[in-house]
Amino acid sequence: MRKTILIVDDVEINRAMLAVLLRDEYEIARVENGLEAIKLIEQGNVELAAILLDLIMPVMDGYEVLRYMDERGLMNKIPVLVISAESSSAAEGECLDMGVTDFIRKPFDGKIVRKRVGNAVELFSYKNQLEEKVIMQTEALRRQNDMLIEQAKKLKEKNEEIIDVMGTVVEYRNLESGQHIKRVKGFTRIIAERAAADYPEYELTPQKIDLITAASAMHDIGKIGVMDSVLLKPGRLTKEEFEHMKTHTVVGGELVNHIKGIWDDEAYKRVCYEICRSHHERYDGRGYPDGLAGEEIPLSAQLVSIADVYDALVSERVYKKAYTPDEAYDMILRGECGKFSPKLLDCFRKSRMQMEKLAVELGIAEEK
Amino acid sequence: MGSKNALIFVPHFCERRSTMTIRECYDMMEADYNSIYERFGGEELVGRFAVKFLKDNTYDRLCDAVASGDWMLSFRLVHTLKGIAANLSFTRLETATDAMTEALRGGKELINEDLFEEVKASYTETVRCLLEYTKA
Repeated sequence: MRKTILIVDDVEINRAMLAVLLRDEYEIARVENGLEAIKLIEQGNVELAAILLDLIMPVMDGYEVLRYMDERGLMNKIPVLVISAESSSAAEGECLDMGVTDFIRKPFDGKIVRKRVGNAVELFSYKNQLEEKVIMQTEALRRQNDMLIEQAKKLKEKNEEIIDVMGTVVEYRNLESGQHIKRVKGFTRIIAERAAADYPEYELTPQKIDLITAASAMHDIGKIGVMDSVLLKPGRLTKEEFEHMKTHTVVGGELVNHIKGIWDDEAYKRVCYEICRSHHERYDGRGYPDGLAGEEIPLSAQLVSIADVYDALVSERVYKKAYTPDEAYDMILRGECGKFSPKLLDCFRKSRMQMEKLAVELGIAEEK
Repeated sequence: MGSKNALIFVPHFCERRSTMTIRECYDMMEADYNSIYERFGGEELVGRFAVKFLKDNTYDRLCDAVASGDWMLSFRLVHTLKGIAANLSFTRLETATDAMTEALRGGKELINEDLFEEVKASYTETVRCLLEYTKA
């Protein structure tokens, strides 16, 4: 389809002369003043390849058309060639400042008008195509980015599922139902969120809490290396058996270090390692395997150890009956299960109701 | 279509009674035929555009505007007339209208009435020559 050129001039002879020059190559639309030009642009029925604009016209002059187009960002879309008998260079400068593509003086030369119109049409068509391409490519990139974000989210969910499965494998060997993992995750999150709110110095962001909660499922993974005779022994462990049992922290850490491929970043792996290795450390340095004390113990491991102890107390094990939540609460605060960080104990204390509610929900405690 | 234009559209194979060419017409009115011929590249086209001038009423409106002392409108109209004259290479008329345009620029009152007299004279001469060309 041929492109359309709009000629805006109040003198019929001028319109006719321009039309004769361009009609072999373009469709020609002609109007007598600026107002009619704007009407035609606003109707938008015709896609204009260029506008040839006279400056001095009745009703509405060429300057007003330029202002109208400038305000609507049209100067970048349609090339405007001013054709004027104006001999002053001030007019030319003003027009070029307003973004006209070319300024042609009367009398004009047929060949030059054709050439300049051709250049302007080609330039803008190329420019508009490029802009369209950029918009399309930006859109395509945005879609790809959305897809990547979606995939990253799915990957994270898969990782968490895998970690849960690994944790649960140990649970089943332990002849437990697999609920322990769920409860430890729940208790860990409750205490961590309280710590984030009350102790900003821990710098616990929602992302870190998610990470620690997910990784807490791994805390006992090292029990896979503990012999059944020890792991499943209903009575009290001998000193040797207990020493063997304690190796599950070191084994767990090593296991995490050996697993490749499921960690989407190093932070994930580090947190899993900290939890596996250090969740039996105690604040006074009397825990195992490394005897770390105070804040030497990674925060992730500190959080999981309280959650783990609380859960061990309120659930039934092969070697013990379940304590009530009230008993468990008192035992932990009295330090009967080892020393914990005062700040985290404070969080634990403040989380009492939430912890008990979750214990009831997960079926290990009865409602008061 | 007016009788004046009828001749212009007589097919080339019809015998024209006229012996006056558009070049002769241009020479008679002190216009620059070579300039317009070069810019539009065709005798027939030049003749067609030149004759269109007879139908343009810019000059009549200019006379009314000057008579009523509307100098802004006078400026606009003489500017328009200058553009037409320039494009048609009506050299004498272009020179006259250019001088008057600059005198009126910004809506100034016309002090030197000779400028308008020269516009009138060159316009009248231009039209006379064009009519002779079309009648011939």
